[in-house]
Amino acid sequence: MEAGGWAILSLSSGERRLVQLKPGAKLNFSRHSFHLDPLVGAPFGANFRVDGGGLVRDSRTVEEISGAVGDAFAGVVCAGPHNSNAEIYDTSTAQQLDDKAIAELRSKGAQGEEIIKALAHNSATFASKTAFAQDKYLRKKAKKYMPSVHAIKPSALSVCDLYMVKGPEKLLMLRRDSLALLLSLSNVQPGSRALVVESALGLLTASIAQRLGGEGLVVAAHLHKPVLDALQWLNLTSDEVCSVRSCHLKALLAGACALGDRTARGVAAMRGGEVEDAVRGEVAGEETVEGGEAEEAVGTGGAEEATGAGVAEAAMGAGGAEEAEAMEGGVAEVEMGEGVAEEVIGGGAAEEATAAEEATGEGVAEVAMGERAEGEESAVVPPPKERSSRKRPAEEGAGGEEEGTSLAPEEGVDGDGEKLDGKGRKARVVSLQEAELSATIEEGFTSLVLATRDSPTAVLPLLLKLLRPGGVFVVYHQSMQPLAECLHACHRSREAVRLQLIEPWSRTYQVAPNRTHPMMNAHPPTGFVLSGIKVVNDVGE
Amino acid sequence: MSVLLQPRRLVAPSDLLVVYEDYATVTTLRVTPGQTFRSRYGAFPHSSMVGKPFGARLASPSGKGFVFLLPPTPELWTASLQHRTQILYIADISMICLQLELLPGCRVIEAGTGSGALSHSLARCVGERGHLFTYEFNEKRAAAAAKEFEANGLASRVSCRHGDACVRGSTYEGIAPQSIDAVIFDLPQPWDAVVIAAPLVKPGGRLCCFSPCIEQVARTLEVLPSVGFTKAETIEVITRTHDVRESHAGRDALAAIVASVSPAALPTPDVGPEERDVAEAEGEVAEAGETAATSGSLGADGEGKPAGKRLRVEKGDWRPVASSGAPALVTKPYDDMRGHTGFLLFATKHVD
Repeated sequence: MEAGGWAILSLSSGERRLVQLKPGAKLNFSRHSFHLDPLVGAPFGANFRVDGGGLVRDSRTVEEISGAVGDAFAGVVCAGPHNSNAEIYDTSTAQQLDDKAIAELRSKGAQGEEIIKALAHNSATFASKTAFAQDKYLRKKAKKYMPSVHAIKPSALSVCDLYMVKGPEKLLMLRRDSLALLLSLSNVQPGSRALVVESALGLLTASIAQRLGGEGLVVAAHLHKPVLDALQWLNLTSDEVCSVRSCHLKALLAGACALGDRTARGVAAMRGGEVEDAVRGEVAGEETVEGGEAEEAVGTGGAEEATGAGVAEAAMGAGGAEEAEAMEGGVAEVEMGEGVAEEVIGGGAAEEATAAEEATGEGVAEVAMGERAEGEESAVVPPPKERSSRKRPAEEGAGGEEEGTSLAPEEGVDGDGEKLDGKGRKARVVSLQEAELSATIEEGFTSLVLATRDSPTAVLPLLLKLLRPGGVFVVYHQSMQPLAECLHACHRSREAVRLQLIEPWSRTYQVAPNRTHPMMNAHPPTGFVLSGIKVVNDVGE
Repeated sequence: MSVLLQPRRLVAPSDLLVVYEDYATVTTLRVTPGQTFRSRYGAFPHSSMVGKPFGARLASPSGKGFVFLLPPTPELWTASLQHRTQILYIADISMICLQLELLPGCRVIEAGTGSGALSHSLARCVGERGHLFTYEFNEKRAAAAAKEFEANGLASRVSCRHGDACVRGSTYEGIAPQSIDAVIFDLPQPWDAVVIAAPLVKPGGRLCCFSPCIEQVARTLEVLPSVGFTKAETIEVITRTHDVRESHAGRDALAAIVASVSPAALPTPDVGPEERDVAEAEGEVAEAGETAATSGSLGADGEGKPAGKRLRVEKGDWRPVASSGAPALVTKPYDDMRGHTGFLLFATKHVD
């Protein structure tokens, strides 16, 4: 785990938290506040227990840690063979120790184990419970009074699972099995050119960028402003972030419309050129064509092949002030999190002070702090609602502004001295500039991924124009009906084959000797997935 | 070109290509001028495919029908492959790739290879930087699979070997301890395979066992702690696919009886005032036969009877049916849904 990076902490209370490991960050848990610094440098998957008021590495497995609770209380479990729960009524009066008494115990230096023993001893019903119930009681208390922390690597799966507990609506109920289907049916892989329209906190965009591994292009289209928080949460590498471009949906759709007009007129000419290409390939062998295409890609904007600083530079070069103004919506780039506001273009109203305030130091974390009474936990999941409702002067001036959500700029982006310093993840999402946009649209996408709150029926036909023939599309929606409409429309247009309307289903099991059963309430319900392959259904030659 | 790489836009000689006839009839071929692809729609010389854009429709020279030329994907490959064994399906494959957190650069072990359906998806995930070591204990199947990986252009990222993952020996020769990111076992005795492969897995690496029976899961769970696997989770995933049809209200017998008793009692679709005018103005123009024609096989149930105003479908109308006031769409699960494929057991190598 790196300083400034993100981690998911699984607490012995059963709760999971997504935290940023900023220096000095604390975790509030079990009425205590723990420094998260001991996590930095430890690998994901490590366990920690509380010792001497702080977190220390614990080399045991999570099962061993929870199993140890049973051993510690071997003498406390005192159920006779005839004990039963028949006489147990939940009246909330069984516990004789009140908060004050527990606090007193604590002040006398009592450790978790001791407090739990006292609780069991002072419970009017403990002794009469069955052995199984006694054990369960002690484990439940241990979660609270003997805290431990397990660090999980934030991944597509772990962040998805976290949100299915914390707020599935924020991810459009995109449960792990639906997410899994989207990621494989979209055929995304190194070299893909993926167009993503999502309102799921950027989790799809981030997961797809990871599957591209820095090779290829992900264009994340947004309706209002980019919400790509998950790019930070998943600790994407700078190569991965570099492959992502944000773009206003309107610009893409306008491009798609123009593409339609042009196709009607110039498709024959375009095709003539490509056929020539292919013939050349036939004569000179495969290599020539591939080489030629690579060259072409670099020539037309370099979005596909180029990585790292090169591409950032190209984008910056294209993003001169005049061009930004000429562009619909203008452009503004603001660093979030640890970075410092570096550059605000567009609208002419670069309110550096405001932007800097939002972007510096506490950035993400502060938003959350304001909402919490404790105010101590500096690294928590920022409520997206709060963030998206914020409006900066620059944004108001510019309309649809772009935002780099990541922490700091690439090394050597424009020579302002910001460097990769190994302290936290450094990268930003660059917006697709107008010059790049037309080339990107011209080039087409190999995958289209849609997961929106609103019905995708209106936007799908236009977005399909941006997909290369033979390209794959997947659409997720919480209700089946809009997807049925999409499927029907695709079918009638004859522009897609292998259409599938899929309803995912999954469940988790407890498997143990004589106690195997499906888990109750393991996950919330999810939506539906439509997939298909775009084709060209020209009858004539 | 491999079965995975994004293709260029036009089909060239020696490209790998998927010929799509219909949902169930999909063929992967290597474009070889001089050869001919034969289907029920006629004979298609490979040379007629060269220069066509991927995604194009290709009419047969005999005029019997047409096919689509698609770029290959692991999903299309799975639809086209020769089953040597029971194969894994998309829901399980997808969940395995997500759960194992497979990304470009990962090194993965799979046993057994079987028909190679999962292998192709794994190969897609690990990319050119990663590697898939896949083992099959049936020598003939191993050879057939190896030949396919080679033919599909995956030789550089997939090693397919003949070997038994459940017997200690030289199966994993050449693989260093703690150098593997994930292992997947789809074989009858995963509890044996897990113990042998465990030392090869990195701390924090992932394990998956696909087992049809819960007893296999239980037995594997017993050995996991002893070889350093923790956080076991057992899940089951299934998908159900749905058919979408137009609801031809007014054409069914029940509605006919209602109409014969009292036409006014028949519920009319919710049509906005403007659209209602159009519908009345158009009168009997649209008929069920036309509806069927415009919607292809979907909803074309061959009745072909005049259907009245409510079946109006405007020509060239891209809008979904529901909003244009035409028949509503209804969905129904296909009857080929699987009730169960297998249990997926996942676990993580302990980080101490």
